[in-house]
Amino acid sequence: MLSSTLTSALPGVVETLSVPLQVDYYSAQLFNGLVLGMILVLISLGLTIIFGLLGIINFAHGDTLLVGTYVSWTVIDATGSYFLGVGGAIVATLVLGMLLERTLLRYTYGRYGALLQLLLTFGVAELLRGSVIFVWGRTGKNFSTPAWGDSAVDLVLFSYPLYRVFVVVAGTVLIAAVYLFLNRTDLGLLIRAGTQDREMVDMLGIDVSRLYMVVFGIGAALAGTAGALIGPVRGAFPTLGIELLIPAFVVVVVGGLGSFRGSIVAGLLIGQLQVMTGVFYSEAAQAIAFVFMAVVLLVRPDGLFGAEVAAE
Amino acid sequence: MSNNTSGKSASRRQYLKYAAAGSSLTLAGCLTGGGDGSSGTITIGGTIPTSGPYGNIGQNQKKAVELAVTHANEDNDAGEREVEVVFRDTQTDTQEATSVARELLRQENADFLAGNFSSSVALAIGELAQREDVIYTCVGGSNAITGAECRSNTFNAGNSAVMQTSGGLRYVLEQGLGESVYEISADYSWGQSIQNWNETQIVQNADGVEYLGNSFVEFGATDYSQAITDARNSGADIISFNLFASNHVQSARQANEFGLFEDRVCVWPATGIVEAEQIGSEILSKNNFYASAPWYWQHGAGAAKSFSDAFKSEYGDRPLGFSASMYAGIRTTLQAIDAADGADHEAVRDEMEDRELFPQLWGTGERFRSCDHRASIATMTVQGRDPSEVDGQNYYEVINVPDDPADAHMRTCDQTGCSF
Repeated sequence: MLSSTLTSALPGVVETLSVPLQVDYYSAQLFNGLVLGMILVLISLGLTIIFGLLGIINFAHGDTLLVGTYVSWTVIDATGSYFLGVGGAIVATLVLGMLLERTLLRYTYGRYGALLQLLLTFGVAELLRGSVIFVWGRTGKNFSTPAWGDSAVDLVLFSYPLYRVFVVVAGTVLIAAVYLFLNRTDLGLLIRAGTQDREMVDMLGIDVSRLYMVVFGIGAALAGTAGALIGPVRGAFPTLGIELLIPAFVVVVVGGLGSFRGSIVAGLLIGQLQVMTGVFYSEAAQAIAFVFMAVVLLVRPDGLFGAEVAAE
Repeated sequence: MSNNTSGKSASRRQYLKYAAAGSSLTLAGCLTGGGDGSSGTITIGGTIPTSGPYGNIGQNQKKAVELAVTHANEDNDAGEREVEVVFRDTQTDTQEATSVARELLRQENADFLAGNFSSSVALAIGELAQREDVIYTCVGGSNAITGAECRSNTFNAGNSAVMQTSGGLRYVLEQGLGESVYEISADYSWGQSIQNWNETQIVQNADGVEYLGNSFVEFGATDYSQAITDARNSGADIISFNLFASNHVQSARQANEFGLFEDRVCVWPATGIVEAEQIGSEILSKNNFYASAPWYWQHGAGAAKSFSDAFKSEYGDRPLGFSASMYAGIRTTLQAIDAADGADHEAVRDEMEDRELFPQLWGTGERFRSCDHRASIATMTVQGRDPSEVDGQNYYEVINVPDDPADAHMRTCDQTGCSF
């Protein structure tokens, strides 16, 4: 009875469960989940930093990432060096972020609430995407995997694309670097102090407005770095940013708005959830992230680590 | 005084009469929509997505329509009538498409509608064209357009999901390239159509071939690692990726990442030069990469070369498969209008049924079938060229063009569920 109900309601689940446990198969799927999770973490990291420290919900984050992807593609195409491409993306998006903060967002602080910032960043997103289409065209670009990553690596139970393993390693290094920067450097200390009590830091003779510009620039550069790392996996095409922004917001909301630790945990969890749902019932793989978000918000309205701040 | 009153009254009556007459005329124009083509000008209502995710494909198709109009006027396709086209952007959205198509009929007096390549949009505009009594010449892969949901005013100049997969999975099975099949399919009507046909017809009718399963991926998915792992784990010799446009690009790139081309045949049912450009020749040229193409600019038919060269000369790039279908579809419709001596939908419909497409871009006597109004075009099979041989947009090499698409590569009229 139960079996027939399951078979009709969730085709594929019973078939999958009836297959003898294949350790190599499930290990490979778990690793797929880890890679997807790391990609989600990479995208949401900059979003979290900007919200956690400046309180801005940055709708332009996805398209900043898009700029990073295209700039890195261009540099790689011109120089043949993948790492120069990543460097180019970091510099371009850092400058872009600082410019946006200095010329636009600065005038919204303390005025009209978050709505103006939402509209403004939404407009910037449209502008950035339009510029990308104007410069690089509507048709996407062939963003090849770098030659050194274009092979498989033996992970004992299964073999896996080397570049994807690199993305996991690079993502881990990046997370550690951001954490150490915010918690173990003088500039990081100033940034955290400035966001907690701007007036006090101002009275100590420190230029807080410059700190804000730096924070927004770092958030944008993280988006650019993610764009460069993801390029060889997803390719470069104009809607890439929008496609990635929605799951990134889900990660940030589930983790708790502005929580650095929350974004990491939520990203990795959602990656696993999506892939493993796909293993048993592929039709629900995309929807599961939103179901998970609804459940988390019902139980913990502020998200998994909602009470914490970015530099916890 | 009384005269004055009478005069005023008469004037008011006349005013009301003229106003009523004027309103009736205006309303009549609004409600019937479209012209009848007898005025000496034929206006085509071009419904094409020129923005949004498929805007680049739409821009190419728009150029093909413009070229068709130029050539039709040069060659008097519609007799002495001047042909013009007015475009509206459908944004690949069914509501927007219906709205702009209605606008073309009522405000621009379009004589017939043409354009588009999205199945859902084709179904929506086809419904409107049926209500408004105008011909709609479209492209759309879903079997439903010329099947269960067919409409007598709709003529489809593109190939169906069944024809697309004939040039793909069926071809590789006929070549004996494997004995087991796994599918990765887009979870919407086009992907479901192909998956179902592959499983229940192509694989079942192939001797000694085993069907090992399918993974559906949702619309908008960009990561296929889980489905690819499933496909690899199944041990299938052949993997059919029933994925279109950017999903085709992503899945081909990721199939390469996961090393599928090394020991498995991977086949896609609908490819083109836009996808080829993004996938890159390093991947396309893998021995085990196969795809079907609704049309490819290096097709050997004489008319194909003329059209492709004219397109290149006018716009600087090559036409896509959807554009070729639209070009031939529009010129054929205009010739039918000339034969019917006007754009009356019933007369044109009679002329279009069983009419050979003009020009013959596939060179196999392709025509609009009477029973379902689907063009019997020959879906070809292509493989990628080696990167060293790629010059311009010649990414593919045509390796097979079926001679008898109508008989062997389409559903029979009984199978379509549509009969006019």
